[in-house]
Amino acid sequence: MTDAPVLASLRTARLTRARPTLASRLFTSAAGATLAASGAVHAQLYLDGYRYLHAVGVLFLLQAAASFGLGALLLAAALLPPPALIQLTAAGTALGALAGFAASRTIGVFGFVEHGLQPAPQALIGIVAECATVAALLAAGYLAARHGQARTSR
Amino acid sequence: MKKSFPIRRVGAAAALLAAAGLALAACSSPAQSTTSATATGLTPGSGEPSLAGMPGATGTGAAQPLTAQSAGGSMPSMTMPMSGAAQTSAGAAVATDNVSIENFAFTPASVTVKAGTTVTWTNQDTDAHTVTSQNNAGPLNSQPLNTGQSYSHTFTQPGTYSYLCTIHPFMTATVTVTR
Amino acid sequence: MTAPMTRRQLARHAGWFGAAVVLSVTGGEVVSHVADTRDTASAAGTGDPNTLRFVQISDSHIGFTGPANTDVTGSFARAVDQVNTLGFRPDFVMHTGDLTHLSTPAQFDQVKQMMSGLDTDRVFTVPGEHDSVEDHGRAYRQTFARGAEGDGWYSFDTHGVHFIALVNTLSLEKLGHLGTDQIDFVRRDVAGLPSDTPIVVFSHIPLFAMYPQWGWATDDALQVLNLLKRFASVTALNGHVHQLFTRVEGNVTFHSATTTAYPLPKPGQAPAPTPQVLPARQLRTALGIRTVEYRQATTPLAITDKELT
Repeated sequence: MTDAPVLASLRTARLTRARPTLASRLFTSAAGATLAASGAVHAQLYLDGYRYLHAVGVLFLLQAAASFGLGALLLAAALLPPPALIQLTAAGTALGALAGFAASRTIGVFGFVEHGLQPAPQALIGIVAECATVAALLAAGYLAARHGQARTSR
Repeated sequence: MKKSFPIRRVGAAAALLAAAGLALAACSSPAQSTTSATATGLTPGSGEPSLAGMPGATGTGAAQPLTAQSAGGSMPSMTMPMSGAAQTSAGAAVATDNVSIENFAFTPASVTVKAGTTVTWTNQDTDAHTVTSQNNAGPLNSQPLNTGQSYSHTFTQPGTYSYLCTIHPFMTATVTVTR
Repeated sequence: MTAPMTRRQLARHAGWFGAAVVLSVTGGEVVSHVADTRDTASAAGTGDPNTLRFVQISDSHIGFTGPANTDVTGSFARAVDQVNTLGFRPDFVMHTGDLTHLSTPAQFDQVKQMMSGLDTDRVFTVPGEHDSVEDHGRAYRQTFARGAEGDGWYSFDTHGVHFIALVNTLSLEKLGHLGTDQIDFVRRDVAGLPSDTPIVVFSHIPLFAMYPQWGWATDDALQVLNLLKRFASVTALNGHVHQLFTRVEGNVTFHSATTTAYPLPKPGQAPAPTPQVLPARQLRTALGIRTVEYRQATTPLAITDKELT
């Protein structure tokens, strides 16, 4: 079996299986909390009327659902570290939300356009939460990789 | 390093979280609907003499009889298309007295003629168009031109005449009349 | 390090992703359950007199003949049927302009007859540029706006919402135009209103700059929007562009409606906003009607766009 993308993810998966450091696990948990916060913002906006928007409403619901699900799993990381693929998916969810935000301020999303940090304060909370999610996951991944290297070179 | 197989633990955690979520949903009370005493009927705005619009099929207002207006308005005199409309690209002013209306554009978009020239516009689109001076402040004022119909105007005074199609106001063009 | 994934590892991944899916689906279910509860609890069936429901139809272009829709009359008749079989009787129906294609008396007569079959309390209209082709809107005003001020603008109230119907298609110079008389009318009209009154503004051409290159904007709309700045919720509903589009700017949400006649290209996706010819089956999905619901003292107006059935 020599599938390149699978190999890459396997390598990282192995690293995380080698029980990551406490710092790495805490970062992952923090990412879970911020991702869930982003999900909460999306859920609240969905309930506050975004659900009536053509196509955009469904995207808000999907974003909220995925953020809650993955956020809950990452939160549990302090006790039970998830595989790297879960963390990658979580980072992708946060990046997807950021991309959607950027698109809605520029080219529009299915004919939906907003300006600036409206609605306040949800737009800002969402962005901060999603950036924090990505940053925390990067930190966790970096720590895990360094830890793994240290182990293998020992 | 622990080698315990974690699927069962993950499953248990998931079930716990799911149960917590469902309990939360069950507890979340529906939005409070406060009933205020605002009029639910239709009323005209404060400065309005009467309610605009017309009653619907089951409306409460007195049904106005529909006035069947005579449909056959007098048709303006129209000429059939002239042959050989100038096929020049828009941009620089072109010395021609024929303007073609095609693909929702006047072609050429800018023409230059001498005073006393009669300019003819011919509609070659499937949709109707007009040739109308901008601001309604000018001599051009055609009826809607259907496919193949033409409109002509003789320019006597030098100057620049901007016009548009009132049906599709993004269609704009100019005629420049020189001595 | 390059060993293949063992069965144990595969099972482990499946477990994690299974948990992710279960949790996500549960979360989604919870959120949509709360949404449903909100929808049904405050609406309490279709008979709730405190719930305002109205319909927006637009751009019927009665009299249009072209390959983009060879039967605009049939399409509009279907839209009227669809309004009459919504399952509730709308409080009113608003047609946001381009009722006719060429403003002939016969076309006005036909569209008025068809709209008089709408099962609703009242039918309102605003004119489109196709409703004032050579008479500066005289025939339109005689047919639809006899009592109205100026060029046919007016306002009305129901269910605690203030509605303003504007005319921005006369004295048109590429962009839509309101004029000082109409702006003064809005100033007087909203002067006595408390700032928590929800405002709905109707116009044919968008009041926001959707695509000025094609005339999809109103040059003096900002003056009216400034007059409405103090209101908590302003919803602007327009037609003209024959496609769904939503934009939020400050306290105003703009919603462009689709048409019952023929689609136009997306902004900048064609050399000019000319009628788009679609395969027969696709045409129907581009056409549609819009229902708007408002429950007092709850969330903002709920706008639902439906494809023509």
